[in-house]
Order: sequence, then structure tokens, then C-alpha cells
Amino acid sequence: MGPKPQLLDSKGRFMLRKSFKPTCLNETIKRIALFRFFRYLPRFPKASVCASCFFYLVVLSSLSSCSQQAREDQINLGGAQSSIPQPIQALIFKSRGEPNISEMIRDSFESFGIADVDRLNQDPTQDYCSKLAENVSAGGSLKKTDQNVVDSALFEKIRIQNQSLISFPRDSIYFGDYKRGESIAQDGRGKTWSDKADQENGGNCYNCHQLSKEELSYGSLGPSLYKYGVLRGVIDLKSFNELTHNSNPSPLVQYTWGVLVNSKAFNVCTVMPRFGVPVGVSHSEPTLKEQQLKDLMSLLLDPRSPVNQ
Amino acid sequence: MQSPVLRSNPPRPKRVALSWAVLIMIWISSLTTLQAQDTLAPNAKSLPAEGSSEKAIAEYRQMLQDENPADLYVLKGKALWDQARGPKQRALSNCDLGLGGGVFKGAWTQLPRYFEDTKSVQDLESRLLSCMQDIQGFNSGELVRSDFSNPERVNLSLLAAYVASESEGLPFKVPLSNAAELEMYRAGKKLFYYRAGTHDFSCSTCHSDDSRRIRLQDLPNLTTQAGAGFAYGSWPAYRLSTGSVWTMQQRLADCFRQQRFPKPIFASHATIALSVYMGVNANGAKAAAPGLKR
Repeated sequence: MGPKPQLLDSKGRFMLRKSFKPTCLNETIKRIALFRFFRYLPRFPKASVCASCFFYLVVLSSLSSCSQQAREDQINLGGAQSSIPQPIQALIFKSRGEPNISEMIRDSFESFGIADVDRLNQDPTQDYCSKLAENVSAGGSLKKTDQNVVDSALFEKIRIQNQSLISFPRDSIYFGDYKRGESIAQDGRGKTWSDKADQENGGNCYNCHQLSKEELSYGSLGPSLYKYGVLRGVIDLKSFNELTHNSNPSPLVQYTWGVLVNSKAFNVCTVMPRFGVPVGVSHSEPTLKEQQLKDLMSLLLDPRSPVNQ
Repeated sequence: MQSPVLRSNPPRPKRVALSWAVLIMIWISSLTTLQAQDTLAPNAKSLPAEGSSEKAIAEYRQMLQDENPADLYVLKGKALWDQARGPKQRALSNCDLGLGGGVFKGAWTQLPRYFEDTKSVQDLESRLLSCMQDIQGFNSGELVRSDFSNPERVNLSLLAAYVASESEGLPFKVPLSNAAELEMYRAGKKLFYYRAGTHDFSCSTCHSDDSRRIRLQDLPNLTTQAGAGFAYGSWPAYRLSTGSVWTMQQRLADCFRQQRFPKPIFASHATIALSVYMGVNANGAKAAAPGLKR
């Protein structure tokens, strides 16, 4: 067990110096040499002051760029260059610089209340979208190892898989009570470790969406849904009745129902949760029950709903 | 680096020495004026630049600025620090927070960091936990398993508030100077984007965009220096809604609860990795703890 293994790279050199030395320190030395040329030119006192000034600027600027570069170098160091100190925290990295955090996650969380550690195992949708988001954050510069992340065939496969989970109401009734819908939209509880398994969960809608005009406390993670129905042609009771009484659900009804039940069937990596299907590898109970989804349908499309006023 | 240059001065020693003296004086005076500006308006800079409800809250904070209840907790924390406590009845005086035993100033702005004695990257709370165990004889395993309301865990939060307050106004310099720290940063970043749970949430769901809100609560963009600096740099903080001091560990735990994740273990690697990620992103921003939160 080496005393300070964490400071060494794979070739046993100090990491900080390795990134610091060959590039910017050389640059500094070069600039100092350049200055020496200048400082023998002046033979007048004023010019000598100027030369000193110049020297300060040069050295200070190169030093600051050095520290900046050293920092960037540290961040950009690939996994191939980083050695794993022994012993270290429970982190095991694959050879190509992808940190494998599954072990770390397993050691860091515990089941509590209704929130079981199973929830941390990602299903294909979650796995795909995590990698995509991380990649986009890195400026979209995709590395070889991440090619499967933007694999469009995989994307479509995941989307269709999510689509196949959407079930439509057996009684072919898509609507409920917009008043109940409003209270479901207001309710943000459910599924946390401090919630109960048998309680009715909320829809969290106002956390991210604007819905009714009266409620000013709405979030901005999702688009505004104010006048959702009116803007889509459901302008009065007559047109609403056409929607509700048609035995074949219109595209608008199918789409709205689909997004509420499983948003990932339309936009694979949307931040919106999948409310009406079991999520994750543990196949937990859906967050919202069928009747609650119907109530939310009415909240969005019923012309009497506060959303459409 | 200066000595070889000084040695090879041109053959006009008096004038050159004079010009050097003048330059050094100018340089020093510019440094001190900069420092003076910093100390004059530390709070103004720590306030968020924009955000709807944040403006109102900022105003509210401004009103409470001189009387942040957290200051009382800082005093309590200071008293705890000097007090002989625990099974060994000793004070924490020599606890090494990264800059040497008993050195506070700037210590928090360089945490989390790798510690040779524990062979791990530690954040403020886990480092204090180590000190409480090694110096005072507390059972750290017991403390990890207990709740945030456990009296000794509350004491730990007060100690954290005290230590952090000693770095107020200093810029963050969370190190990435060895492989362990680098790996924790990378793991933290990965965890930040890790979607799971019943709602498919990750940290980035809410915290990777500017000017987003949940209800009226503005969400800091933790991928930017401004956002991470504002968020990471003001915990431990006094929380108006709970009437108590929360540390970053507690803040993270409640984030995970709302994320519908299982419970993070206190001072676990995942929580520290996230703190490394946020801390490094915050580098350069100024520490403003203990903060005042909704």
C-alpha cells in the first residue's frame, strides 16, 4: 500500500505536474525569454519602467492562464490516465473512463418506508435518458463509448416499448370530474419515503405546469396548459360532448390520455413522469389510478374546467 | 521564479530599483483596494441576479440580513467546538479540516477533499464526524444510523455552520488534485444525471436549466458557477420553514425524498460525490454560509 498513491498517474508521475509542466510552464519560460530581449533595448529610465510593467503583465497573465489550464486539464483527464488509489471509496471504474456508480449507489442508499432500494435500478428508459442528458451536458460531443446513447433505433425501440404499456379505459369512458381533477393537480404528495402505500397519490401538475388562471403558484418545468382544451378546438359543451360520446376516441383524446398515462411514449426523455404505468424494474404500482387520470382529462378538456376559462 | 530575473538586472541599479519599487507599490495598493471592495459588499454579490420569487425572497433576506437566526447557531457551534465533549472528554480544537489542525479560514471552501488519514474524500459533515470519532470518541457508526434530530447530529450541524461561517466571503477552491477527488467528481456528475425511481427524476430534471421553478420556488442551475455557487455556497443554512439549521447533507436527503428515491445514508459516498460535483462547479463563487432559506 503506497503512502500517496492518489497523487500519481498510471505512469507513477505526479498528476498535477504532468498536466502543468509540458504546456503552460514552458510557455511562461518562453515569454520570460522574450522579455529579456525587450529589456535590453531601452536605455532610458522611462522605457525601463515600461519594460518592468510589461514583464509584470506577461508573467501574471501566463501564470493565470497556467492555473486555468491546469484546472481544465484535471477535469478533462480521461479514465485511462487516472489510477485507482488503494484503498479508496467504493468506486470501480471501467477502463475507458466511464465511472461505474452502481456499487456506490448500492452502498449509499437504504430502503425506507415505501421507498425501496429497488427503485434505484434503472429500466431501459431511465438508463438511456440518463446517459443522453449527461452527454448533452458535455456539449453534445459524443465519445465512441457513448454511441449507443444516440442510437436512433434504440430510441424508437424504447419509445414503442413505452407506447405498448398504454392501456385505454375498458369502459371506453375517458372523462371524469374536472373538480376532482383540479385537486389531483394541486396535490404533490405520494410515493416518497414519508408517504403511505395505500394513500391516494397526487398528480404534481402545478409543480411544473400553469393550469388555471386563478392558481398563481405554478412551476415552469413544463409548458403552460392554460386553455388546453379551448386551444385545441373544444370551445363549448357541444364540441366537448362530441368528444365524450364518440365511441372511437378522437386523436386529441388518445393523445392526451396517452401523455397522462405514459409521457415517454411520445417524448422518450421528457422530464414528465409516467403516471399511469408501472415504472422501473420493480414495477411499482402506477402513481395515478384510472379514475384519477379520467378526472385530469376533464380538467384539461372540459370547457367548464378552470383550465379553459 | 523571480530570483533569476532579479539577478540579471541591467547595469542601472538605482533607476531600475526605483521603478521596481514603484511598480510593487502600485500592485500592492491595487490588491488592497480590491480586497476592500470585496469586504464592503459581500452580501450584495451573494444574492441571485434574477428570478421572480427569488427577488421577493432576496428582499426578505435583506431585511433579515443583520439578524439571520443562523448566527445564533454559529455561536452555539463555536461553543461546542471549544467544549470538552464525548467519551474522551476532549475539545475538537485540533480537528484537521484540510488546512491543518484547527485552521478554519478557507477550510470549508476547499471541501470536499481527499484526506490521507481516512483514505477518502470527505465533505464538511463527514470530516466533522471523523473528528468527533477520533478525537472525542463518539461512535460514528451510531451517528450515521441515527436521525437528523439526534442531539449529537444536531450538534454536528451547529459545528458545520460554525466552520462554514469562518469562510464567509472567500471564493470556493474545491480541489481536483488527485485521482480520488477526480473520481468522486465524475461519479457525482454521473449521479447528478441518474434518472430512477417511480417518477424518473434525477437531480438534473430540476437543476440543469436557468430560471426554472417548482411552484414558486426558483431552482438553481447546479451545472453553472452562479447556480452552484448560490446553492452549494449557502448551506449550512437556517431554514425558515423548519426553524432549524440544515446542512448540505440534510438538504440532499430531502431532495432525494422528493425525487422519490430511497433514503441516502448520512455521509455516504453518493452524497459526498454530489457535493464534490456541486463544489467544483461552484469554484470561484463566494461562500455565503450560513445562508437563510425559505
